[in-house]
Amino acid sequence: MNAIQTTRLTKFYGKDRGIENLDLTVREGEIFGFIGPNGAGKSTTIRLLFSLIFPTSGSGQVLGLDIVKQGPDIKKLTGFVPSEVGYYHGMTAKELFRYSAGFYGIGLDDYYQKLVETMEIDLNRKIDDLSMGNKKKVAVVQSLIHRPRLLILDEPTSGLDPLMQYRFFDILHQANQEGTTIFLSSHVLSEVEKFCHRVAIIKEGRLVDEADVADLKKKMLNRVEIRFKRDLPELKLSTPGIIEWASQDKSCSFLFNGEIQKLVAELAGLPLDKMTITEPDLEEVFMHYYRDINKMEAAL
Amino acid sequence: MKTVLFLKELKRGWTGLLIGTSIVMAYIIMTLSIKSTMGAEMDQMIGVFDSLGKGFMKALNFDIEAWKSVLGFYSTYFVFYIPLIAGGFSIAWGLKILSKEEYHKTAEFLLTRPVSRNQVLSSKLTVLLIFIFGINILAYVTGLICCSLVSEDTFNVATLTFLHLYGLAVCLFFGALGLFLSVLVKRGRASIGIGIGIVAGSYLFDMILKVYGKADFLLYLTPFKYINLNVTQLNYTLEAWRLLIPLGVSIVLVLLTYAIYRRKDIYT
Repeated sequence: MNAIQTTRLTKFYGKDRGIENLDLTVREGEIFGFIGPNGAGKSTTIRLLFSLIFPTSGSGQVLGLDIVKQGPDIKKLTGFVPSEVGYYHGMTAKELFRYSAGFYGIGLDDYYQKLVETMEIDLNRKIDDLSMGNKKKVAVVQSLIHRPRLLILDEPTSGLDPLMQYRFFDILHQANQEGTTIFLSSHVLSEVEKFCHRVAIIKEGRLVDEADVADLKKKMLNRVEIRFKRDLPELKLSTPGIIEWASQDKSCSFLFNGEIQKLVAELAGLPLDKMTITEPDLEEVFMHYYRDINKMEAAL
Repeated sequence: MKTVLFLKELKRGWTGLLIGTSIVMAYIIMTLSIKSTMGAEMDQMIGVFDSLGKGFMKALNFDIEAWKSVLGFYSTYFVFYIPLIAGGFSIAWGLKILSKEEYHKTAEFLLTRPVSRNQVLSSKLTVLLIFIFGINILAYVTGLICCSLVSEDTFNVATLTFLHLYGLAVCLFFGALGLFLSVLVKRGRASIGIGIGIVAGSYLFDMILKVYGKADFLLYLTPFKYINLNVTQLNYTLEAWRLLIPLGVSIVLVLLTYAIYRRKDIYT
């Protein structure tokens, strides 16, 4: 069973586009990254999955349950960390945890205690008095106390200090090992790259790619940088798959997705001093989709 | 209904109930204490009020002759403490109870718990009903005790009860109207000022129509028409239509609220 499955899911706010014909598949048990800039439709997608808003057209299932008809059943099985935390005035963290647990018909057990200790939460302080980071810590704990099968995280680390981020990802790894699917929507591409098995890129409300992080990087162009022993002002390589050619004095650089064997053969006759081939990081992949997508499509 | 949500709403709203009820009770005690001290000055006061003119007296529902009985005096001010003050609180509670979740950005937290929209609305509606019944019952008990203390003769308790039943129906209407208006607004911007404006505006509308004495049919558009304040009339009794119309409209408004809220997009 898929943890999340959407089919041509569309949401318009009047005439404004939220998402359009989104086909998304998140497999149960995986850690899935969902990336895109502000306004791309990430939060709209999450809000649709939780029936906070309703689709204009298309459909979606979470853990096999319909997002429009079976919202409460979905929420029993899911946890959520929002990007902006809003809690009730005057409530302490402990009161909030108790209130939240009441909806699931559970008590606050040892697992909750462990989460509270790991995230160093002051249970008796009023949430109003907490900093943004501490409110986020409260959000992390409340999302996990009922041991959800699917955890949906919307920019979860914003406001958390590096130590808490580390502990947070540690908790997530542990939850994932115990079977929790994790859907991580984030701007922080390095954390998606490090943490996620698969990733989807959303642009202007549409899914532009969905793949394993490793495969996505493989699909992308490698950056090649070469330094020669002497100036080669007239140099132009002819191996197919070279784009964004740039040369200056004794060096040149370009993006390459052709056959490396042919490139090496062509370079063999040149006075090479140094050569580096680097795989793009996720940030570069992402930027290509946003900046250079037309060039890249032509090259591929 | 979701018990955990119901209890939280009750716990967090009881101060509002306390404030509203205290104001209404204080107003009842204050007005009836004036009645107890009027005695000898009644003829002088009748002269003062007569000089204000019949139109003014009619608009404010002031019937000086009726002031001679405790229920007549009580009914003169009833319009202030029940439809206006308790009604004002009812519409404010109705406006606030649902929309505050969006306004205070807690709707996202609430609606990502395993709870249906119907359960959310039912829990909050139950609390709203408790508050409206609460303020009306306490006002009734206060009125009953004060009238007993002030009245030199016996008075008809049934008449007082009917008067308060009409008041309750109007408060339920205002509560339902508040709830309905709150579900129509986006991002929880239901203003309590608008609610109070509606209550005060409908009272002014009622006053103006009474002063002009024309287009009486328009009076049916104001909730005040459904309260029979002529408690001194001999055949004063419970008229079902005065309860059924505001209650019927309230039920329709609540059903519409359910229908809209079930599919409302929630923004934070």
